[in-house]
This record gives sequence, C-alpha cells and structure tokens, in this order.
Amino acid sequence: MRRSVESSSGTSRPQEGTVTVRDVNPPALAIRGLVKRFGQKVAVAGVDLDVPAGSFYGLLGPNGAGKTTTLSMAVGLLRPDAGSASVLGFDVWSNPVEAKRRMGVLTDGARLFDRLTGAELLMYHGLLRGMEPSEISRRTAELLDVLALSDAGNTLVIDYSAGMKKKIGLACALLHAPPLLVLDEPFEAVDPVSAATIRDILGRFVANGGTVIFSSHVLEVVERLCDHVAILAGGQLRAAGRMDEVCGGGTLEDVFVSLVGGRTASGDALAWLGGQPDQA
Amino acid sequence: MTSPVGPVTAPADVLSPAGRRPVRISYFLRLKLSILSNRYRGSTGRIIGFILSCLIGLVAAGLGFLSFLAVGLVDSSDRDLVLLSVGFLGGLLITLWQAMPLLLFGVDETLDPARFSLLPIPRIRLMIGLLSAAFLGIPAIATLIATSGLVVGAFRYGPLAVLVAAVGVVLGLLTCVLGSRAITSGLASLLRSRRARDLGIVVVMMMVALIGPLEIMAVSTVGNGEIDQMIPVVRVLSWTPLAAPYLAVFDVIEGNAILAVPKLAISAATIVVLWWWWSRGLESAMIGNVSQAATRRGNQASASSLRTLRGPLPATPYGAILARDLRYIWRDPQRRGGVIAMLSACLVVAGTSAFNPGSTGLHTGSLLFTMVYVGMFGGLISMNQFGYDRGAFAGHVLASVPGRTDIHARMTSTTVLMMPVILLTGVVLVWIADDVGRLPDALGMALGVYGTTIGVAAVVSVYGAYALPETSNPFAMSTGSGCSKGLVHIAGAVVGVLMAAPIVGLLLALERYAENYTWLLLPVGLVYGAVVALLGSRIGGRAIDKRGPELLSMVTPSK
Repeated sequence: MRRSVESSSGTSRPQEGTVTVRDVNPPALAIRGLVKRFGQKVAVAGVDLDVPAGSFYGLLGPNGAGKTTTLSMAVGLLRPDAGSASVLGFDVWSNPVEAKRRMGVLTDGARLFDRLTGAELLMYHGLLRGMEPSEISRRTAELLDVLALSDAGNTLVIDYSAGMKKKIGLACALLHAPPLLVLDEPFEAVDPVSAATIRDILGRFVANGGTVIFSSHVLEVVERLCDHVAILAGGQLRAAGRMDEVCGGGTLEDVFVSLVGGRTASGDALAWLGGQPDQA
Repeated sequence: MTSPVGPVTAPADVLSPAGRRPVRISYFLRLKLSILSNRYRGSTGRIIGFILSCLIGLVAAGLGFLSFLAVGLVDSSDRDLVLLSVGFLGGLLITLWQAMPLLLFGVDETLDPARFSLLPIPRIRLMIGLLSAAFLGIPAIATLIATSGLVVGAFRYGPLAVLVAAVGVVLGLLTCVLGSRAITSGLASLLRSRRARDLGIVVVMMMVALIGPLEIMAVSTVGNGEIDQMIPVVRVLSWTPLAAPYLAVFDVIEGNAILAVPKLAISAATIVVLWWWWSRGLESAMIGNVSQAATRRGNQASASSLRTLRGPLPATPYGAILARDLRYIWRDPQRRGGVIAMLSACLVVAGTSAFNPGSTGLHTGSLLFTMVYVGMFGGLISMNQFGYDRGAFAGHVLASVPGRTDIHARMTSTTVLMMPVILLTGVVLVWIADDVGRLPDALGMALGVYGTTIGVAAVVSVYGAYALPETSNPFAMSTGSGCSKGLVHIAGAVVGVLMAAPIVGLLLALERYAENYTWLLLPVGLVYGAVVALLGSRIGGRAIDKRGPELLSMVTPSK
C-alpha cells in the first residue's frame, strides 16, 4: 500500500528537517498548519497532525472543538484559510483526484443521497468512482451482508435509523477499498449492536493494513479502539501521538480533563438532591 | 424558588416545583415574550424583519379595521355590499387562520406542547396557558384590531348591536386562534411519518401554485359585477362558523335581533368542539406517538434493485448522476412539488393564452409568448439544481466528479422531463390556434429559450446556489434570505430569455421578408439553444471544478 513519493513532496510541505525522512514512507494523512475562520470565530487555529500508515487514530475533543472542521479540510470538503493536507503523499488541494481516490470518508451526520435505497446508494457511489458495475454489485452484497443491512437494501436511506445511516455511510466509504478511512463521529447516535459491528469492521480494516482516523467525543470508544490519539480543543491540538505516550501512565480521561479543562463536582454542592420531592 | 418577577429565562423560573405553587397563566405569556425577544436579539436582519412584519401587520389591521368599520358608515341602501364584504372578509380571516399552519408561515411552535409533557401541569391549565400565549403574536393582534372595527361601527345602532358585535369579535378571534392550535396539534402526530410530511410538501407547493389562478377567478367574478348573485351565498355563510360571529350583528341592525342568538351559539359551539379536539390532539402531540416511518409496509422503494439505478444508462458517473437525478424528480418531495407547480404554471399560462377573453382564437404573438414561457420553466427549475442535493453533494466532491459531467447529467435529466412538456404544449396550442403550420417556429422558439435558460442556469446554479431547508418540517419553506436568492434565479431566467433574442429577431425578420421560411426557426433554435447550453455547462463545470467545496457549503443547510 505504501508508496514512495518524492515528486509531490516539495509543494505541500514546509521546510523541516524531519519531513523528508517521512516522505519515503509518507503518512497516510498528513495535516500541516490548517486554519479556518468563520467570520470572527477561529474554528481551527493551526493544526498539524501525522496519521501514520496502519494506525487506528482517534481524534478526541469536546463538542465544538473543531473536529469536523479539521477533518472536512483534511479530506477536501472545506477549503482551509491556510495550511495543507496530503493523503499518502498526494496533496488534497493541489492533486485532489489522486488524494481522494485513496480515501474513504464518512461525513458529519452521514450526509447521503438519502432518497435512494441502500443498494442504489452504493451503486451510485461506485459508479461515481468509475468502478465496474459487476464489481460494485459483488461488493455491495457483501457489505450489506456484513453490516446487517441486507434486509434494508430496498428501503430508502431516509427511513433508516441513525445507526443504519452510519453503517450505510461506512459502506459507501469502504466500497472503493481505500487505504485510508476518515470518519466523522462514526459512533454518534449509534445503538450498541451497530456500534459493535462498526468497531469490528474497522478493526479488521486496520488489521489488514488500512489506516483509520475518526473523530469522537466519547473517551471510552477511543481508548478501547485506538493505538493513536489526538486531543483537539478550541481549534488547537493539545496532544497527539501513540496512546501510551499521550496517556503517560495515567488514564485517557485524566489527560483529557487536564488538557481540555472542566471540573468535577465537589461534595457540598447539590446536597439537596436525591431526597423526597418538594411538598405542597 | 425564584420570584416570578423579573425576566424569565428558564423553565425552572416559569414552573413551580411539584405542586408547591400553582402555575399561573402569566408564566406562559412571559415565557412566550422571552422566547420571542431572544429570537430577535443580536441579529439586525431579524429585527428588521420583525419591524417589517409589524408594519405589514399594522397596515393589514388598519385596512381590515376600515372594512369592518364600514358597517357604521353606510346607509341601508349599501348595507348588502357591507354584508358581503364583512361576510367574506370574516370568512377569509377564519379560513386563513385554519390554513396558516399548513401554508407558508409554518406552525408557530414557540411554545411546543411537547416541551411541557414532563412538567406536572394540569391539562386545563396548560391549555389555557398555551392558548393565552397564542394570542401574543402579530397575526392575532392584527386580527383583533381589524375585527374590532365591527364593534366601533355598531355604535351607530345602539348598545345591543355593540354587545352582539363585541361578543362576535371575541368568538371569532377565539375560533381563529383555537382552530389553528387544534389543527396544528391534530396534524402533529400525522406529520411524524415521512410519507405524510412528503405529501404535505407537495400539497403546499400545489396550493401556492394555485393562488395565481384563483386570484384571476376572484378578480373576474368581482369585475363582472356579480355582487347580487353573491348575497344568497353570504346569507348561507352567515349560518356557518366561518362568518356567523361577524354577521350576527347584521341581524340586530336589520331588526331581527333574535336571529343573532343562534348565530353566536353556532360560533360558541364551534369553539367548544375545537377545544375538545385540541385537548385530544394535544395529548397525542405531547406523548409523541412513536414514528411509524420505520414500519416495513409501504416503505419499500418500488421495484428497485441494483440494476435499476442504472437501467439502460451507461455505467459511468454521467449515467449514474442522470439516473439518480431522474429518480429524485419524483422521490424528493420538494422537487416533485416544484415540478407539479411548474406543470400547473405551464397549464395556466397555456390556458390563459388559449382562452384569452375578448380575442377570438389564438394569435401568433400569444402562441410564441407562451412557448417562450414554457421553454423558460426548464431553466427556472434548474436554477438551484445543486441546492436539492444538500449535504449529499459531498459525495460528488469526494469522488472528484468532473463539473461538466455533473452538469451534463443534470441537463439531460431536466431535458427528459421538459421535452414532453414543450412538445405537448406546442402541439396543443397549435391545434387550438388551428394553425399547424406554426408548429416548427413555435417549437423552435421554445427549444431555443429552453437551451439558453438551462445554459444560464448551469452558471447561476453554481454561483447562486443556496441551501434548501431540511425536509423534516414540510412547511419550512425558504424564508428570509431564500427570498432574495429566489430573485437571483428569476433574474437568471430573464437573462436566459434575453439571450434568446437572436431567435426572436430571426423570427421577426423571416415574418417580414420570407414568410414561407419561418420553419427555419426550428433548426436554428435547436442549434442556438444547444450551443448556449453547452457553453453554460462549460463555464459552470469549470466553476464546479474550481469551487466544489464552496458550492458544497452553499448548499449544505446549517444546523
């Protein structure tokens, strides 16, 4: 899967000593200095991130931290005010066709053509990516089967439950067998059974040499699945790297709370809670 | 517990804990006022919108006041006219109130009953509270101002008339407000299923499309001086809840005061029924009937399989987008509604030109004008062609679909839809005009305009795209900003038509100098239209390639 790409290294990288070494085996996803402002508000304030090939990467952050904005810019759905992103050495913004061919994306809220049936949707995405119809059909049947969506293959996606929508979105992302998966909140609003299915598939994907980066605001999911973690808050990366390095012996929750801030309830507050309802 | 004095910000302030203190009606009123004022806080545009709607409400209320006041201004000779106007105005008012939740403005869910479902408030108190809060609003206040003209006008006829008028006005207002609440709650559970909501969108679009023709009908009825024939209609109407509260006072004026009693009773009975219906609807609205959308039955897309997305179309991105777009014309309720509205408009334009009162038959100018119109509609429905994709357009950006391919596929889909419309309109009109020889130039005209407008639409739809609202609420039409964006599209259609000027020029020249060769318009229109369309697709396609992500964010509805 890994390619050595010298040709595209010059355009997208800042001149740093270590970068050229990485370029021989480029990271699956390399983010450099991404910035995005919406009016006065700075949503993402300069994010650098390397997602090594073969890693299972969790992008953790509280709501409104800039996770979706960062990932949208990384996959070419939102134009950054500054910075760049490259997929396996191909710049997302200067060489979008090659970069996008190498990744599968689950967008925020699984924005899909939801008035197609599940099977139609997969056929659509396959054709858009120039795949052979027979191959699409074969993979569609398999994907629907593994994701337990076979019964719903002829139901309009708009009538799917939240978990089913995530799963069909994941199927769309997997259909063209990309080496990199970028998933925005794949476990949000998903029931435990569907979540287990998604976890299982992602685990297999990484075991087979693929790379996954997904965003989440649930610590447990990231801690359980990922070997790498990045913590984003206020549009800035607070920590990134191998899970054991980031945690440094503590729990991920401790690290997260200390980096992101927040407070734990002390003993005295809310002492009146937990008794009888107030009397008339 | 916090004192009830002071600004209300959270339900905790509004509602006392478990029965310690009864929930006062004034809490509901203050809650509504707080929500309304928060809505306008910090946004200049919204404040301007609010002031504008206040002004419009005030003007409407003033005009209505004068119309109702007319009771006291005219002599008995003209009273029939006033009876007519008050009867119809009152009926229209009550009808509009019932239809309002279903029409443009959406349901006023400032105080959504569902939000009170967890709070321990007795039902009756909740209903009185919600109803009182419903009176706080521009439409209700404007209605009250307008109808109170009746009371002022009744002063001329003594205290009994004033009393009957006042009771009528109050009953009328109650019918208006309570009715719209009852309909809202009654429909709430129904609208939870997607299919019902989809149907709702189509119905609303059709109603909007029919406003024009109905207006023409109404104007022609009045214009033809058929007032005398309408009086019996109003007399009947006065015994229905639609007009009874407002017409009861006329019985007092005419000396049959006793007749006013049953009329007011009819109105009061209506209010009781509405109250009962609302009470029942409220229950289901609060419990929130579990969506039935997930049930298997009827939700299977008909006969769709892997093969049918493509059908006979090529297995390419072009074929896929074309197939998907054709499906969406019917499956997306907003597009379906738009197409139905467009077809109705075609019918109206063709119909009015074919049966133009005062002219015999169909003359050439009117025929060609209609064809220009029908040709233009194809472009008009494509002006926001990416807006219908909403966030799903991300799929095209991620797959790096070439912009020209995308536009070509959409153009083909629109053409598949519009070609039969154009051909049929042309044939029917030429047949009505009894001038089959004009068919080539009629079609040439329409096809030329069709080509130029979809060419312009290919560019406008990229630069002037806007997000359509999510379809969860069928009555959420594009509001505010959508309106000004709509103007861009109309401007685009006008530009498209203007670009067809060379064809018109050719027609005029041919008619003058070579009358036997007007058929040349067909090939020329076809080629010219195709050239402009292809040019538009080239410019638009290049724009998509360059600003795909920008287009995506333009068409993605904000949360």
